[in-house]
Amino acid sequence: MEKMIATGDVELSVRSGFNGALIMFIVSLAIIGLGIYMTVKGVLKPRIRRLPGVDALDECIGRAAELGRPVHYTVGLGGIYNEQVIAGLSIARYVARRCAELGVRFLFTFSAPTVQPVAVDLIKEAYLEAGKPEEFRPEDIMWLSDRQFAFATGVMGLVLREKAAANLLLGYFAAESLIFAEAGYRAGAMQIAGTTNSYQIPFFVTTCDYTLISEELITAGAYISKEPRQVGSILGQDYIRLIGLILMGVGAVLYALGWKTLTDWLGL
Amino acid sequence: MSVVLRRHIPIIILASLAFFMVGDTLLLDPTYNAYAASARSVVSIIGSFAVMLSVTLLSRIHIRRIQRRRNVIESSVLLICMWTTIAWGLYRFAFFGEKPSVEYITQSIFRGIVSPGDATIYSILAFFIASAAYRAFRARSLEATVLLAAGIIVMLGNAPVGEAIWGGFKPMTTWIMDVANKAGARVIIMSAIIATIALYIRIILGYERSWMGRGE
Repeated sequence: MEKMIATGDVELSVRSGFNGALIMFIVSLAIIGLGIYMTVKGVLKPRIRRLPGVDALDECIGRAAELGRPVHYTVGLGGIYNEQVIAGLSIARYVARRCAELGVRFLFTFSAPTVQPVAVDLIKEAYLEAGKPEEFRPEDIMWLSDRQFAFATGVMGLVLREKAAANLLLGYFAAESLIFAEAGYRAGAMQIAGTTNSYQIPFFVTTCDYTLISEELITAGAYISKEPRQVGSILGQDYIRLIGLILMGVGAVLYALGWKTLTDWLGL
Repeated sequence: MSVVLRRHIPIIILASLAFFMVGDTLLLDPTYNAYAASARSVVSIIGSFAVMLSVTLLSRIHIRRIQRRRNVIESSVLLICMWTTIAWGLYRFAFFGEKPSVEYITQSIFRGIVSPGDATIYSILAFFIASAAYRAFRARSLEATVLLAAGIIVMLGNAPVGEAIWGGFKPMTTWIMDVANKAGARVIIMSAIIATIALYIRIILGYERSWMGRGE
């Protein structure tokens, strides 16, 4: 017996007696937990490969300090429940702190109102950490519009008007991605972008200096912090990827041979 | 504020709700799913309060701009006037039951300003794509050359003139899009999904707190 339930765009196949998605979730939890445990205990010492886009953040901020121009940062269209926005906010905290330390004006824009309370708190805290709470300007954290192209126009105008030295586009983006990147290009800004949306990545790759592709954006927070527990979770993530690759290879061969039990078990 | 209040309690609430919502996705139980649907509506309510916060912040910024007469203030004045109109309309409706009689103005603003504005900005993309493509499609390295070749083939495969030049462009385009492109896109999507699971686990366990502001 099979029932189909719709959760957003994804349809999960839930079978009575065997729930492949639930088992995969539990296995993922266990593997990531194991990765964290082994890293924290020092059994394994994983090293995250270099992410040039994240390493270039300091270069961006330094350039802005030299030029005396602001840094613009946007998390795009997503709300606070979007994983790309959460990842973008993690990086925003670091960028805001570095901007505060170097006396660079930090302009932050977002589209979804749910981002605002978190963003204000986070950036304020970053200025406190840098020891410059008096330089925090709430008016530089801007909700421009929740309409896609009105927001795009607002960002484009801001970047060109303020002549941003760095344009950081890290979050959830849709059709307006190229508008942001072209505005940054025209303002002469150094640009770093990152998204998991495969349709927008080509636009960023062609227009920005550095692009964080897909998981690089989401793991950037852990990369910056270098905290063993966070690095350990990335180790677990790599194990899951390895298992996924093996399952895909084995599944493809078995499926080609006519044995479909594995794909049925996984609910595919 | 103590560490328990500002860090531990939010993480406990977050972890409990996260596991509850994960259960909703993975389990089929009408009662459970109904409770989860109620929890989702709470998210919408909280989101509405966030809108009010954002509107307040934006108003404060624009009022301050008008007070200081910084830059161009026309847009600030217009924005405050429009919000005052909305607030006045809501007040009249809430306390005197008067329905808005200027609905056509709102409709006109949308039809006459907002929709054409959206269409204009969207159409700008065509020029931006041309400009970005010009910069990208230069054979400066092996990768850029492959990109250039693939781009030309796909372009000719989709344009009627390509069909007229050589009939092989269409099947080559189909292969590039359905095999090479799809394989690459799936790698990106799958790696993002796995990384997202790891991110959520870090958040649920309280290891990733950089997005929490004062929770750190």
